[in-house]
Amino acid sequence: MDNLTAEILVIGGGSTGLGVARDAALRGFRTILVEKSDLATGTTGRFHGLLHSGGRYAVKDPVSAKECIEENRVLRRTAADCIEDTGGLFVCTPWDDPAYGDEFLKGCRACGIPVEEISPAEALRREPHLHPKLSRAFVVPDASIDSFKTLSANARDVEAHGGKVLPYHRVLRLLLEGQKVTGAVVQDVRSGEERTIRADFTVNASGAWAGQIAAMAGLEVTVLAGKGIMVAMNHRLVQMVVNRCKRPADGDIIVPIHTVCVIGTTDVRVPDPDEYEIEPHEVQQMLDEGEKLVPGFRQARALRVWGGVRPLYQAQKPSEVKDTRDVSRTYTLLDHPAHDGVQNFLTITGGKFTTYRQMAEVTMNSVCHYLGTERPCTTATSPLPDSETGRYYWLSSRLAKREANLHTDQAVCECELISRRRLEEAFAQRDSTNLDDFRRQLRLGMGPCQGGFCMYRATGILHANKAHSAPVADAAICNFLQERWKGVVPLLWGDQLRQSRLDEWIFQGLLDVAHLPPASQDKVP
Amino acid sequence: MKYDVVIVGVGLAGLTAGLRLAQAGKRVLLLAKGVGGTHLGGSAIDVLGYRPERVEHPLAELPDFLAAHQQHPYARAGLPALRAAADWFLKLTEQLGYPFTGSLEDNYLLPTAIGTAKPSALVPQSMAAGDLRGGGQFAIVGFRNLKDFFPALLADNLSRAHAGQSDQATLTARAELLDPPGLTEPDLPPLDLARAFDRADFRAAIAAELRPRLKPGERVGFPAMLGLREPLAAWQDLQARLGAPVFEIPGLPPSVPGIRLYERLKNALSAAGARLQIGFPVTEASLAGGQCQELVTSGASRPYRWSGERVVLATGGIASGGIQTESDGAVREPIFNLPLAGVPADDTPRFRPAYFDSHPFSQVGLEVDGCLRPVDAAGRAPIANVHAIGAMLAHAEPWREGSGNGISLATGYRVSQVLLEEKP
Amino acid sequence: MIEVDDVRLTLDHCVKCNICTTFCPVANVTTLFPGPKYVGPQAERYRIGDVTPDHSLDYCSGCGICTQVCPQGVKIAEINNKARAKMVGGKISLRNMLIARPAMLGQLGMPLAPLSNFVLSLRPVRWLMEAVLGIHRDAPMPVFSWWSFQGWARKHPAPPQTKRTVVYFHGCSANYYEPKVGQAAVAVLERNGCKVIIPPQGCCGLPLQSNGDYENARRYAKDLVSRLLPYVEQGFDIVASSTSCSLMLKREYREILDLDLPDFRRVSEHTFDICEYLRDLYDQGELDTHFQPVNLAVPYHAPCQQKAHGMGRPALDLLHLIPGLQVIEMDADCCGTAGTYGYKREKYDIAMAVGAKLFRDIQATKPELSVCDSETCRWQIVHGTHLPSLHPVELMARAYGLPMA
Repeated sequence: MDNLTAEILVIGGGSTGLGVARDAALRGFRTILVEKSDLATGTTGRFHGLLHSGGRYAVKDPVSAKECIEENRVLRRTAADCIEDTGGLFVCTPWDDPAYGDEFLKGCRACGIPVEEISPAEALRREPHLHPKLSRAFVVPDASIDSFKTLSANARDVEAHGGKVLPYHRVLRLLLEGQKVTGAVVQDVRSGEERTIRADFTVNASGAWAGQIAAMAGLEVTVLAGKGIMVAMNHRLVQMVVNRCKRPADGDIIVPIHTVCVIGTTDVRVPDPDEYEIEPHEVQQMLDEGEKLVPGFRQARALRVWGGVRPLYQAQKPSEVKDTRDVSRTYTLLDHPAHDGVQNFLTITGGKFTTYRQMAEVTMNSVCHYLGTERPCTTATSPLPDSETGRYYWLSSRLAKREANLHTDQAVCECELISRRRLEEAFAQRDSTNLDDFRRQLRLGMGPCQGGFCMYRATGILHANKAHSAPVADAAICNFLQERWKGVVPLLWGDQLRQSRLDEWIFQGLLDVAHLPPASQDKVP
Repeated sequence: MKYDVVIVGVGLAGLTAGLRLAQAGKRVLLLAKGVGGTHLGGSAIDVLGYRPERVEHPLAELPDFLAAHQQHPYARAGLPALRAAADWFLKLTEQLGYPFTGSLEDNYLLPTAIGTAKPSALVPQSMAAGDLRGGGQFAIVGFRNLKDFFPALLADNLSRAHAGQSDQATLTARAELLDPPGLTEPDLPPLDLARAFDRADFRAAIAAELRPRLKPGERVGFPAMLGLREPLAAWQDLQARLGAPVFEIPGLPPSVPGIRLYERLKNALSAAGARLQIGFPVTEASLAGGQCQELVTSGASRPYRWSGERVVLATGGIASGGIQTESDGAVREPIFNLPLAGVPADDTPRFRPAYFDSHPFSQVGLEVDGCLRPVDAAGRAPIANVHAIGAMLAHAEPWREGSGNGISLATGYRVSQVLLEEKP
Repeated sequence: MIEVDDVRLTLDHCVKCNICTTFCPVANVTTLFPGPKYVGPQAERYRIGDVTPDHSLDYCSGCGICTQVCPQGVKIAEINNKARAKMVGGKISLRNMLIARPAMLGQLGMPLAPLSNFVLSLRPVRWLMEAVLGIHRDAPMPVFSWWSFQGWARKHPAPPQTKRTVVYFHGCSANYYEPKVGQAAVAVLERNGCKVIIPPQGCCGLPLQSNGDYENARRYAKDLVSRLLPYVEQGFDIVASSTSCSLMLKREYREILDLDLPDFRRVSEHTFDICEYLRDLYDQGELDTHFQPVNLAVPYHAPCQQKAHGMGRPALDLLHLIPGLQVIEMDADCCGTAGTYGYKREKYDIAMAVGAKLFRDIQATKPELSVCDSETCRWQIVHGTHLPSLHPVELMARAYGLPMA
């Protein structure tokens, strides 16, 4: 495999990394980004999709709150196609102190967050499923944002400006010349091949793994992993983002995003960002919290549960932190050249999705300073690909598209209304036979049946168009089955259990996937 | 209006029991909240496919299997009932014009839509020529605008599949892709294709295009959509026109063979004087003196009460809501609140992380006595005139064992024997 | 909060099995309709606000078979119905406004009855109607009666001795188009000891609802309920001879129009289909079973909306009591007309294709007539089979030897 050179090497394919890579590329730097898995598989792909107004932090963390509202405005201007302008509500349920509403109003105003108090009756008119005995309600400019789409648009812009985005490339070690970082040795995890990437400057944007990367340069950077779980409910029980108006705690936000609504989250410190469990009691906790905002929540269908770890940079020693919720949600740029004597290397960590662009700007400003070049940031005003019109995403878009192509194309994934042409296009554009990669990109298998019907079709199309190898196709479907199973196991009751039974019948009973001829049986190596 | 038997559920189990009883002169009512079993489960009567090793001779291997699974539904129905049920089913389907073939002695080995070789005991005649035992040369035919069938992947996997018995047996499979004449809709509904095959002119056009492309000795596999109203005639005619053995391969639901079977069983039930009401779940039962007196359904604006001397619960288990589960972990049988067996203890996992593992929760259901009456942990039947059959029964994992329709058929037949007081 | 029986919430039960689509009479004859699963629980997850991109939904006929066959309890037809109202958004075409008002049409057409019927039978007139209004030239227009049932009822003396009192909800069809059905209903009820009150009443609003005009449907609903309520409060039951109209009172007002009010509930609980009511009398030993033989073999079609009552087949139960009468239940699901659906230029062919099997099956029994509980179904069946079609109570009246008219 050929070795590569770049001016900027970005490590980490989450929002921070993609933001930095795009910022760099737009400033004219030759940029390469590497990510050990697929884009948006870290924290970015696992949050609830909330574009913060900042209201959540207005009382307790005003620094974060101000960042949020600033970037909320910027992203609405530059990433409109990724955003659904749902608006947001903060409501006081019978479990919340109405007096907190005054602190909330004050805090929002102090942070410059547009806020309007409305009557509980008006809130219920807009959101009839909310608790009938709300005491107060406030409207703020929360919205929902599709992180996969956002990152994908950032990546396309990087490539449009001559950069490279390399998923499934894991950093094995950093290249060091004395105290200077000159690049990295990476491994393509699918083929096992290694390659060297030499770069003038390396940015560590690896989120919850930032400490692991920094350690490769001999640096001690403590990033705590705060695990949170999210539960996606099968359909939108609310059409606006709904927050509990109280001090932030677990399970106090419901975000409508695409065809689902997501309730989250918890915050439990875990030692390893790659290994964590979803505990049954956490799931029950989310359902209980959901009941407070939307009575009858438990009767609705819980579609999928997943966990993510948020990166919490800790300047103090880890043992001193009691509750990870007390750590600020703002971001930190670790200036290694200035403070740690390691040159040509920065770590950008902490933060939240909403502020990714700002984090990238701050990082690249510092990079420019160190490289001795003045190149201004343009990301605050340059729309991402597909967001040029400034039109927000409309939930019914996919339905409109399907209505238009009803008699000219097949719906492969019926739940998510993905047409065959779209799927074939995606297969052609991307070098992967992992259906999960395409799931992230297209939402394949993310609907109620969790791939029950589309998995076989997608595998058949993959085989016909691309893989031409039964073992590869078989592996794709088996892996996807396992992957889909993972996110429903903690929710197997009621409707989702019945769905799972039907899917089991289809794959094991009818298709008998468990007894596919094993790959090792083939004479061809 | 009082019935001799009220059956709840119109899957294969309920339809089997209903038809046997109605044809024997009983006044039968079938209540169901919907239609499903046959349409989703498919038509093949899988008796025993995996133990977990593949089963070649179900009848010979069942005693051993049941020795290790003493509470299995087949143990409750009894092997004599299973054999009688199979005989009856073969005769019945012949009479209904949609003949099945096969035996309990030897499993067929038939291709699935993804190309696995899967064992089945009794199948529609139109599927039998797909038998992979002994190898052979196969041409798998798909249609460009049919999204539920991928002949290339199927053929690819088939070529790699074990032929089974003989080491010398070779198996080759290849794919053909056709554009169905006159069916130009890109997202072709499977039933439209099935109805097209009912037409001689369509079959002629298919044969004209395909026959020149076939090699001598090839058996030709199609998706299981060869006709809806007259599937036997359609299959036979197509076979004649192609000059080669033709077989159907079942795939994703809804199953056309299942629909064919359902329609025929339903008509036979009507002809035998049975009544069906579909669309309203039984919401409660009224009991008195240890017997079920009435079943209640909720109509448009009032409840309706139905009474039968005997009641047969064929409500399909977890998949159809015959057993309900809640977010707080509760599990219950909603009509009679019958005790359920196999529910893992509260702090033990119900499902394993690996998808293909056997999951503890999979075998939850009702335990029954020799008369198929649900019993409690002490072996007592709390309601004397209620019986349970099919997927309601505990201690089976039909999709893993390959026993789905077999259990439905055997227990549906057995309960009719019990209610007709026939010797087993 | 979430109401457990809320129509939209039932979409959660959908496991995407497509059983509903395999039973959908419309999807089975045309690819213009992608099926109830698609327009129902699937598309519903994508609907938001007042603007919806639905188009194919328009081909849903509202027959309701999907809801009945769904094994998981999704209220598919109801989801579709409500989505249609959103799709229509208050903008109803002139054609739909007209055909959704059978009472108004009846009031216009009846006074000129022989003439209006004649004019509507002229081919050029029908061609013009099709071109201008979009009502298919071959659709079976009901024939205006030259006398109204209400007019007859006002002059009809009550029987001297009665055991019970009922209120008769006759519907637009009996009043303007088929008063003979109303007469038969009254005759049969009176034969069984009922005093039959026939109050002034309006249209139930079903065609307005099925065409997406909920605002006007609600107005009609409130009017009808207010007229019937006083009788319910006196303890009288309401008996109806159209299984479509009575379904509105029983359920659709609450479930589709969201009129879940105490008055509506009371009326709903007291509403009976006439065959249901008579069957109940039979179960109580109160039905006069002195039938004269009717030596016929007749096919019976249960309308889609009759099945939606969940009351079994009371028509069959009653007709089986008539000696000599052999009733053959047809196994086709839908006659195709689905109320006003089959009258529309763009839907007529679909409706005829849907009903084709039923027409064939009816004709195969070589009958003198067929039997069916709903008026638009009867008109469609007559159109498709060229044979008369009667309401079950008309046959009962014949078997009772009752003089009609």
